[in-house]
Amino acid sequence: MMRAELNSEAPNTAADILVFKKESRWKEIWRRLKKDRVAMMGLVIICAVIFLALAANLIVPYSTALKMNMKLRLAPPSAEHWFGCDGYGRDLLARCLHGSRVSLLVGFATSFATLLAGGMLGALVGYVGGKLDDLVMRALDIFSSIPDTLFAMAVVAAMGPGILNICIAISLTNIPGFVRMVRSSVLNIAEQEYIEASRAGGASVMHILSRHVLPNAVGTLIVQTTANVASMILTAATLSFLGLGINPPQPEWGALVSEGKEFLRTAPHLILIPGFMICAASFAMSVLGDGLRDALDPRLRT
Amino acid sequence: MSKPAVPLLRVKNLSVEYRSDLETVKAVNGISFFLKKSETFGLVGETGAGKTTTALTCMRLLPENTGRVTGGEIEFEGKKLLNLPESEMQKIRGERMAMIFQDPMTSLNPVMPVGEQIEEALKLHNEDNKTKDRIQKRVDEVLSMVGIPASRKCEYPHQFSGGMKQRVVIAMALVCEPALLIADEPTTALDVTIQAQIIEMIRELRERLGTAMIMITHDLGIVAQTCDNVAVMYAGKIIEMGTAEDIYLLSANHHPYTMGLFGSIPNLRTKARRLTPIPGLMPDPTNLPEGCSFSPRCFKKTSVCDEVSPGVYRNGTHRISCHLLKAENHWEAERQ
Repeated sequence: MMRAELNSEAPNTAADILVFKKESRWKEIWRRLKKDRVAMMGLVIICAVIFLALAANLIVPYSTALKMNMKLRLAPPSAEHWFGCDGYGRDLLARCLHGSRVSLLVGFATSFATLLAGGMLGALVGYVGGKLDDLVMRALDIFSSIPDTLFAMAVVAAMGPGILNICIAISLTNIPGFVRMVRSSVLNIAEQEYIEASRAGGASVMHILSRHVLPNAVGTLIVQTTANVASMILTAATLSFLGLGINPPQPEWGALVSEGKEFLRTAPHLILIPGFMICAASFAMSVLGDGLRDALDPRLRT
Repeated sequence: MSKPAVPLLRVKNLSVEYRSDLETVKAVNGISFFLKKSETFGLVGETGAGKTTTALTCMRLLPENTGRVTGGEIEFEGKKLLNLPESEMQKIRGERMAMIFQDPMTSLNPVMPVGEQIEEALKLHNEDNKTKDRIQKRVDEVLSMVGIPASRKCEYPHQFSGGMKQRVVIAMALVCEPALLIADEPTTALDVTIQAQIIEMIRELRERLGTAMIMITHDLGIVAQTCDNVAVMYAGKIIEMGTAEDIYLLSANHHPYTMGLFGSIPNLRTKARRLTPIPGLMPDPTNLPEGCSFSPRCFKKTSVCDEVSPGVYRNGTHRISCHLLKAENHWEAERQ
């Protein structure tokens, strides 16, 4: 009786539900993210920074960022040069704008690469465990026993400077820590009964990892990745400072800060302005990450 | 009773150990039973008697680094499960054999809508390429079968009450219409009214779908309500087995442990200030006593109990493993 009734109605309701669900998943996350004012502020800042980086050439030509003018050496901010000029009389606004391209590229690319490689490796060794776990973790221990900067320097020195090589070097130094973090959070999740329930339903390892383990670890992944963006920008700056990163005339946020520190007493704006840019970008990333984590967690929905 | 039907599941002399560096826990010690199609088999016993281990072994879900099957075999639909490769086993799990877990609060993935969790098994075992609509329809069907409106399938586990979650867990297990359902204490985490509803529902579903079931519980009332055959487990052994009537008939012979179990059920009609528990605790499974494992707690113990492990004695469908029955009429020793 019940079944017959259900069947006559089912196509209709099923279709409705399907449509409703498909729309609501992402819409709902967006709706909940919108409610989080701080996260939205972060999103606006990030979008603005990315927009400025993309449009840098339209705002000021790249040549402005390289043009020296000794008359304007260490000039404070003025109507003509909003951010003032650096030790060679180059316009700091132009340098900051063009510098953001490299910094953001390095920050995002390396964080993403770390997330992908570290996340997959960490989830796999954490879930599978046993000999694979031992092997991978001991290998990573060897990597992390080398100081980060030294390791990155060695990689860049071996492969030569250039944005791609810097990205590879920075990603490699950060992967061991990321793997360890993902692994510990996966170890927790793997013990949950719903994982066993899914195995009892006939699921394979890859299915469990992608459908159950990673979605439950997504909060940790997002928070760590967004925090990484800022620290990767700074690592890139360290490499530039050591002469292994971006080649000198080319601007980059980290490099701007390290150039500016010579004039800390006489022209503090040289260090304050690019420093503020790095702060703003990393702050925006972390609040956006926090907001995303909350929006993605169905238990926190309101 | 005329033709002995081929059993759906046959467990023969199964022994399971948990090994760690320091000790070996003998969780299951040579148990045998079989289960026919659409029959319900109750597995009762105290915590730690090896009930869940038996169930997990049937599903081949023992923890890989510690659990080890040390002997015996399991045959399911003609296949020897213990020798099957993992990929074959994945096909059986969920499709032919499903399990309801003990705690509905933790056996649902908190970040996945319940509908998706139910359809998971269907998608994993989709050999005949059902369309998306067909799968959705089946999910709706199962949900309404367990009494949850299909419109709630997009909701997350935390939006359901405990009883509803258990219904979802049951729906997950039933979605592929398995031949065998293993219910591991399906009502322990629920309060009594919900318990009754769930038991009633399981019974109804079994009748409708003809699913065979292993009901693991320590609640003797549930066993009486649902099971055809019952086995009482103690320290990894089946010490008494028979039809539900055999076990629940007070005038029949019983293992002293079974008597103790029934004796510890509170009775409304007799006045008693305290319950009458079985004295003592289950023996340490890392160091089982020689002879009968129950002898340290047994009120009918004789000198032979400490030395010789009792054989199985049989009277019709009723089997008991206790030295006392040697002297009884109608009971004969059984050797396997």
